[in-house]
Amino acid sequence: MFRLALASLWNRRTTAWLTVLSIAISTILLLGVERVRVQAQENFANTISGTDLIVGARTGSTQLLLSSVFHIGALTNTLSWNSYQHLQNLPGVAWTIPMAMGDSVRGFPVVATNTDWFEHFQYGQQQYLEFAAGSAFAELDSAVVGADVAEALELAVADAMTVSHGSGGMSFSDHDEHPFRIAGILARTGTPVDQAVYIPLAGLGLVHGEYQPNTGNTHDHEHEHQHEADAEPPVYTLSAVLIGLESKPMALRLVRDINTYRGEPLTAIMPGLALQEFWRTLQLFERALFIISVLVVVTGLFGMLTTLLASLRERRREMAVLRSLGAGPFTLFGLLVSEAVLLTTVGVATGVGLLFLVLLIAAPWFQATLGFVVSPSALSTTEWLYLGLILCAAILMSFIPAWRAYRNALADGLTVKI
Amino acid sequence: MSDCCVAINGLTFAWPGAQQPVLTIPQWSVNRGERVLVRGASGSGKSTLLSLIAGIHSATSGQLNVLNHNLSTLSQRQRDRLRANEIGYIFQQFNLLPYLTAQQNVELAVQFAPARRQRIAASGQTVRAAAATLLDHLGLTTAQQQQSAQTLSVGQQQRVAAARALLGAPALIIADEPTSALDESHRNEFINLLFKECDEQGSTLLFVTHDATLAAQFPRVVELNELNVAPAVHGGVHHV
Repeated sequence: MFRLALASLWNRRTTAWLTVLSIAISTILLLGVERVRVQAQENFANTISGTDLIVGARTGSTQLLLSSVFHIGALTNTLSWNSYQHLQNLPGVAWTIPMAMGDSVRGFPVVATNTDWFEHFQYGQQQYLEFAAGSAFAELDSAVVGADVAEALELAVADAMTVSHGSGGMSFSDHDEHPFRIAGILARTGTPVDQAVYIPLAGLGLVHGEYQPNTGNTHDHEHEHQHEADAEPPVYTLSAVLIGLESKPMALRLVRDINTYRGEPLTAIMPGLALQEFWRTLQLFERALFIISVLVVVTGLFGMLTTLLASLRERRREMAVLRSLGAGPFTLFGLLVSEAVLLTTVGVATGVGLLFLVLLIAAPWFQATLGFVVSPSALSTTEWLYLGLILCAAILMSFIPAWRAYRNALADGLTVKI
Repeated sequence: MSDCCVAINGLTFAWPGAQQPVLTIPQWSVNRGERVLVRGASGSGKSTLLSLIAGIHSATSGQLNVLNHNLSTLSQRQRDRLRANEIGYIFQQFNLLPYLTAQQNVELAVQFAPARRQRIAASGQTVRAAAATLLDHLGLTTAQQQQSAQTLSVGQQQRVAAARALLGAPALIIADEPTSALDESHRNEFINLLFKECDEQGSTLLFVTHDATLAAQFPRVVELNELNVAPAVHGGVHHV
């Protein structure tokens, strides 16, 4: 019986292949969207770990998160060196990482920091940064670059590099009188760290003329000149400070303390909460994508329904022959349902196969453009569930042409209408 | 009674929803091994009578016995099973599934018919060999037997259809105008082959046609007009 269904399908193979293809494409879309969603969320949550607080000048929590962790957007306000020192001395603070941003190297953001960055910054599951080559910067004109930067700009340890003002790819104000030498290249993390250039604060102060005041300095920069009386700081202002605490429960109290700090208006956020909050704002987009892919699946299944219904007309003869040979109406019903199951199974399997092929081929492209890896890992429970639902929907839908075939079988009998 | 293949007693049949019956047959019977020609004009209810005997439709009233089974007491499934096992059916044309070979089309006969399979096995043959033997008898070459059904001529297709109806020696062969698509010489050849094979297997042949010229070849000829006392239904269209 199954062989008969196969032979009959093979006879209509052009339409059958098209049906399989449309189901395959809708499967690719549904699973692809699911995969990108889950892996994006994982990657997103993996970008920062171990940091309890992010502090910046008064701004929105999403903005502070995006600019400090993802290097998206610019912080227009800055916090002073004094505030940084104040934060360092708050009770319960285990470590701090200063960050000054705003410059770039051929489109890659430059983060001015100190060696605390390499010592304390963690991502993923509490993983520390590691060097693929070289070591942390020691001189004020040395730099450390992320894996993607090194690859894209073909930089190796001891190469020279010029920092530009502003975040654009092209800048009219290159700080080319102060080239930086590469001291180290970080191992790949799969986070925005790969796309950043790290220089010492003093180095930034140098190119901006803050550290060694330079009268010949003509470019205008956003940093305010507020000469302090005490020991010369490397820079006058910072964009953000990452803070690690001795015990996590203190975070809430410190957030309140920092937000009400009198010296300067500051904002403190807890990165985990801020990430969740931000992810929630993305859910609308995510849901829209999901709905679209579900609709595409429905369209694919309706395509199959149309094909099956249309095929019933040309198959009346076939049905009458089978009927004359003693096939019951239920057999014809089953024939139609098994055909739908076969088409859908092949379609779904083709879809999964193509998806893995695409993921395998396009993984480097995803890495480069999205900044994270969409890996061709085994199907998750949710994905299996989706595949099962597609199959169930197909079976339910096939009841319509199957019921028609059943009715025709009873009504037409053995008269072959052409 | 036991040598009765088809026995009809006070049978009426009306299409669902129709007021007038298309068939009213007070009394008629066909004995086992008989070769009967039922002649009737188009729309006289020939196909309807055949679908009743084949168990596709049920009589509205009266009794219809096929091979000692009262069809009105059988379920749909039992009637399908009886048809599969004991009735070989030949259509006017388009008997074959175009995407199967001639051989596969013949073998299809036992797909739903365990009794036919058993009879073939009892004769010490495989289904494949039995099908090949029948096709040989009916004059298809080995090469033609492996050809796709749609590449055969109409005459060859009808012979393949006959082989399928005959495979596994069903008790009753029903032929619904099987020769109307054939020219005269092919027609006579086809009928002779059919007779020969039916005799060999001991099958009853119920042959329906509108063509009066075939009457000379059959030992028994029945005019459906005389059999059916239902008022003539004009047009003969019976779609549901």
